[in-house]
Amino acid sequence: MVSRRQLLLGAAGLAGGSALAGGGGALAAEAYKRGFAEAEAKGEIKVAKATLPWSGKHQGGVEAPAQAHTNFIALNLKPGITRDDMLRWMLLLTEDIAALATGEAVLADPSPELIVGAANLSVTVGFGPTLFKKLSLEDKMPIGFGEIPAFKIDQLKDEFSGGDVLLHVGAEDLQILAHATRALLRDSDDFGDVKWIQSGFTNAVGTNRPGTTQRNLMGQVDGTDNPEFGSENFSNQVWIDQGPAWAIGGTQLVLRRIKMNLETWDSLGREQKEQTIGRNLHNGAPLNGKNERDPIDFEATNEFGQKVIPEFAHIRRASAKSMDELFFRRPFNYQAVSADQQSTPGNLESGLLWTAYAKNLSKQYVPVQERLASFDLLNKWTTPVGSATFAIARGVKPGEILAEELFA
Amino acid sequence: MRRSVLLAIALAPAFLFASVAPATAATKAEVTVSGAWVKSSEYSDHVGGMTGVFAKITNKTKKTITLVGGTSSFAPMVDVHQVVNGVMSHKPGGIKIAPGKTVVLQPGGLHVMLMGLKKTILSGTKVDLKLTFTGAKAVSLKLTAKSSASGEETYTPGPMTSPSPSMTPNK
Repeated sequence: MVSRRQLLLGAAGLAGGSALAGGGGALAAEAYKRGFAEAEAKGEIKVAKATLPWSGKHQGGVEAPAQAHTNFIALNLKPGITRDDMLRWMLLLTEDIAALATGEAVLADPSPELIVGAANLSVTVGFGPTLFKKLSLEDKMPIGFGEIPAFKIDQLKDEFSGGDVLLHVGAEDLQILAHATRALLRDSDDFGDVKWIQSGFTNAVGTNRPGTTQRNLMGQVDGTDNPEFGSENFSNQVWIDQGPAWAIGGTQLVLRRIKMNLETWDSLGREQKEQTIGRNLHNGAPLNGKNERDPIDFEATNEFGQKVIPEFAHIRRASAKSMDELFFRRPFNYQAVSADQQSTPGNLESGLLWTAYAKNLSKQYVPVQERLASFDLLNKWTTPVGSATFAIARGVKPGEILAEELFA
Repeated sequence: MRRSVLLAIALAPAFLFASVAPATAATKAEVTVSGAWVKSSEYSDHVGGMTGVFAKITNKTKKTITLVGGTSSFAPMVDVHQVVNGVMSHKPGGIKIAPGKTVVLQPGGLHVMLMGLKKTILSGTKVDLKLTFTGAKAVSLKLTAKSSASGEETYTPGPMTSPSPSMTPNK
């Protein structure tokens, strides 16, 4: 017969015995309790211990849910920086990324204790059109990459636009992100000057069920219409599969800083807000449906014969008119004290760091943006104030250097 | 992991990397080295310059060993140094490491100097260095150069910020 005592012993991972003295049971129970407490303690720091892959065909930070905190950092090359310098910079960044993404401090970190884990940290490195020009590398630009055209709705500011090199750093924990950001910038200091840093956020771990589409600060469910992670659609829409080798497995990113005019938006009725978007506010379902993922029916009409999703609705204008217009979009929220004189309480500015990832921005993204710029009711409450494009290098295997083929 | 990056970048046999190789190799290592880096600065960016190497070195043997110097394709002179009262000088007799103990080479303290540089050392340069010991086999490393200011505030003047005549190695 197996006694309860032996079961406990087994659970505690101790050697079982058939003839244990009375005291053994208490010991085993103690060990069991200890094991349970250890497991519980581990669970308490599971956010810090969470990691995402940093090596492989693709860089991290693209085909993954957005972490709670994100820093987009653009740097301009210091005068006289050469391709050789770029290689050394990329070597430092590659080693830093390998360390930080596995929860280790970077080499020579003066305060390594601040890195208590990776907290799903990812770093994505990309290059703006100006870098290719400065280093005479225009022939190595990915197909369809470059500056995007100016749109009539744009009120772009230089302090949020452009940049030679992008470092996009994300993590579930703001303190880890802050220290990692400093480490990356310290190791970039010999090569580039920071042009801008734009910080964004979404809900923290444990605030939504996994897979929940985030809400933007207008209150809308934002980002439903996206290819699924790991799907063939994602791969086909996002990952570059032809052109220069350094970018195959990479992608193209457009970052748009979109200021929201929340005060006027807030004064709208709920129905007007839903009509403006074409989705309900409750769960993000298209106005013709009940659930978030219900197919959009642009032809559906109400009892008066009017379109259920109005002609001016954002989702109608933003929807792909052909297979070529599909891409991955991911919005991060931002909130900042505005430098401009505004009429908002506290001069607070809210908005989106809106991103799109596509293998060919000219073909996939630009036509959609042109359509939105020409007519989208949402433009009344949103203003693009920053814009930048970056070509994202392919991922690396351990031992390789990011974008080595571009600068070698 | 950074370790694997270092390993693969070095393109050298794994057994050379006693310090940074995974457990199988490390268990047999006499000496392990971790967190090793070389400082890039205005003193290392020209031929003839100099710089310091920093690391944690652990003696895995059962007897005291001594770090006596090393060799590098970057420098004809690899010397063991100390900083005493803010003045850097050659450390006579090398750095002794007791069995099972770890010595920390850091800015402002014990360190290895690369002198009379034959090639520039800039941020991101990979530098080969073979540390030699009495009492243990030499350890080959591939170091990354960084301009990190780690530890520099602990001494004045420092070897990198204010070279003094005492920096000339004893011959």
